[in-house]
Amino acid sequence: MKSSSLLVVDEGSRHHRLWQGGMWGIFGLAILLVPVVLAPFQVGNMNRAVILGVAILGLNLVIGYGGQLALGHSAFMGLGAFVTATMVQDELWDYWMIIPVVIVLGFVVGLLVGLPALRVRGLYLALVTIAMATVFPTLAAIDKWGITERTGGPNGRKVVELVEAPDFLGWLPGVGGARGGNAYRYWIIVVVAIAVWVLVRNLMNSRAGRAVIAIRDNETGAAVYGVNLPLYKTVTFGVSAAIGCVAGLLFTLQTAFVAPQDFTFLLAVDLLIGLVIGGVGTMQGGLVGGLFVVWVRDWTKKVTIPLGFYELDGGGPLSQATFGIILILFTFFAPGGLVSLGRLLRSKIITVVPKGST
Amino acid sequence: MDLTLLLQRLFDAVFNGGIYASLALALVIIYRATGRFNFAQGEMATFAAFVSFLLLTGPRPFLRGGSVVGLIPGVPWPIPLAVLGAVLFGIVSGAATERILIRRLERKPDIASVNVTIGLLLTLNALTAELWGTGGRFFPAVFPAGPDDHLLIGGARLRFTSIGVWLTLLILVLLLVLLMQRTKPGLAFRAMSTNRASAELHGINIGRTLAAGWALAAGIGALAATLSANSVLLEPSMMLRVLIFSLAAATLGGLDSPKGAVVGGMIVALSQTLVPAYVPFVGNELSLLPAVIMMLLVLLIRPAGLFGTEQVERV
Repeated sequence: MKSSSLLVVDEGSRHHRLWQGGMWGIFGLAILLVPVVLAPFQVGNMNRAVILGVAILGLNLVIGYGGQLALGHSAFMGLGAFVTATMVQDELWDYWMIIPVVIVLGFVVGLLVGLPALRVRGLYLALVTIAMATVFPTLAAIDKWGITERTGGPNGRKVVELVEAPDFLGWLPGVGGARGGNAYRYWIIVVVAIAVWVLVRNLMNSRAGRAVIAIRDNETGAAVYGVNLPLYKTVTFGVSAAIGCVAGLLFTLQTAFVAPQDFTFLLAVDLLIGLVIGGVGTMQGGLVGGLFVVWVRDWTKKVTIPLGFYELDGGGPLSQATFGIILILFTFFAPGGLVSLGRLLRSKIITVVPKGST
Repeated sequence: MDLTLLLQRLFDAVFNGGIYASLALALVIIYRATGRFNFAQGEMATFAAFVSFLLLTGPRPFLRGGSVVGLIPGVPWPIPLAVLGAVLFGIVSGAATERILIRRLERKPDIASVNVTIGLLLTLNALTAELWGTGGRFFPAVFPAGPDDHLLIGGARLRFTSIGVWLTLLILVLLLVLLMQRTKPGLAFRAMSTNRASAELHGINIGRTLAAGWALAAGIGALAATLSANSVLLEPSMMLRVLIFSLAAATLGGLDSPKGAVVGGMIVALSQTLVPAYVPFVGNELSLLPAVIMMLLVLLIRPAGLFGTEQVERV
């Protein structure tokens, strides 16, 4: 087969391994350089981007791999964030001790919400989950059963207990300098994100993952082959919700302040935008989408576009319009998101000939 | 229990019920035509209401960045004409939206339609905010809404605006039924929503019928927005809340049933008013909760909603 790319390598050959190693090397170097090179507030932005990326990865599990239109993951993120805030402030737990708590909590709540997901399909599920996302902020502000004491009600809750790098971790890049707090949080967030990423990848490569994908591609066919539809659907939902809760924990860790208005329907829309622009059903899409949402929003808030007779000010609704238009354009012209565009670019540079194809 | 108070609360719910039912009706029409959901229904309606505001405001336009009003003859228009203008704008923009954006979604998965309509929601909301600003604006009442404009029934006030909204809704439903059952285009629409392929084989112009469906829905939405603009204040996000209630109403009633939309709208409005009033722990800020819980319960028992048709999958 003739290929139009610059390089053609055999799978597993020395050149192929060199290419792969090079790519991973660049990626690793980028991770290392973030807390050293960027300004402190930019490290903070990066943290928020990676946190969104984790949540989008969870959403991708349900939408991209599971094929179920669940749009309410802002609620799970909010649940994780509020539980973390109250555990740190009221129960004086350390953040790492809360991780298993939010995972179990998110999984259980996800199962409970996922049960109706068995009955309703397609757009009905989209409606139910959107309704859930809309109700969540008001639920967090209920003035009963001590909920407001823990969540802080409509005014939100400040977390005074900040994480600081212990002495034996002072060698981490960036931690010692002016970006101290943000850089240390960056490393915690990156480690958690990598752990979640590896977990999801291994899950999708396992028997269970293939069953989930089979359900997406042909539900009836999967059932005929003996896939337990209700079980896999609910568990996918539960795992995805647990990942959302972990992202919520990281949110509290990063911002040290949680309020109901942080977890409205707009956050759910942000997650959807990140998912679509990153790449639905890809492992890299979450991170790419998270970076896109945070940095493009940051950028559109700063620009002013003079139109001659009229000045478009970035402080206004410009960023929202940008996201709306980008969402529509990507759906029509790049349904695979930035990741698929990246793959297209890669195919112009290198073609890997799979083993045994000659 | 205070009967007068209960009656008053029922009457209060009537107005909202009419608005939710109208928007739910618009959602149902689009769902029947395309099997899809228009999440931008509320923002399209809001934009149309702002157009009607433009027709009403006269020589002092509130439009940022310059005056367009000078180009429109005879402004300010009287309210009925301005409402009609909004409805016409809705009809034209609805058909245009279908032609430009929605028709390209034919062979794409559900998520594509969600993306595009949510993208449209964001863009239209931002556009409205950019043009008119985010502050609430006074929009005159379409029906008499003075302090004395009400009927006294059993000591409770039934306001003329509520009666007006429901009369409008009833006329709308009646016209819709006549349109669907007695006219050629209505027959074409029903044929298309029952079986797209065989309707096409019978020579029905699918594209035109779809565009007509979207035009109809957007027109109804525009009417709902102008009718409610007086009570909720005209602002770019005014229909977002209404949309959520209408989504709940449409889902409750069954996504493909106009009857379900009307009944669902009323149920949602009643639950919004009555549950916070009589259930002690549900405050007013939680008024969406009972609607959502009812929607979940109905879906658990009857996934197709109260009046919807069951979906059966053929292997």
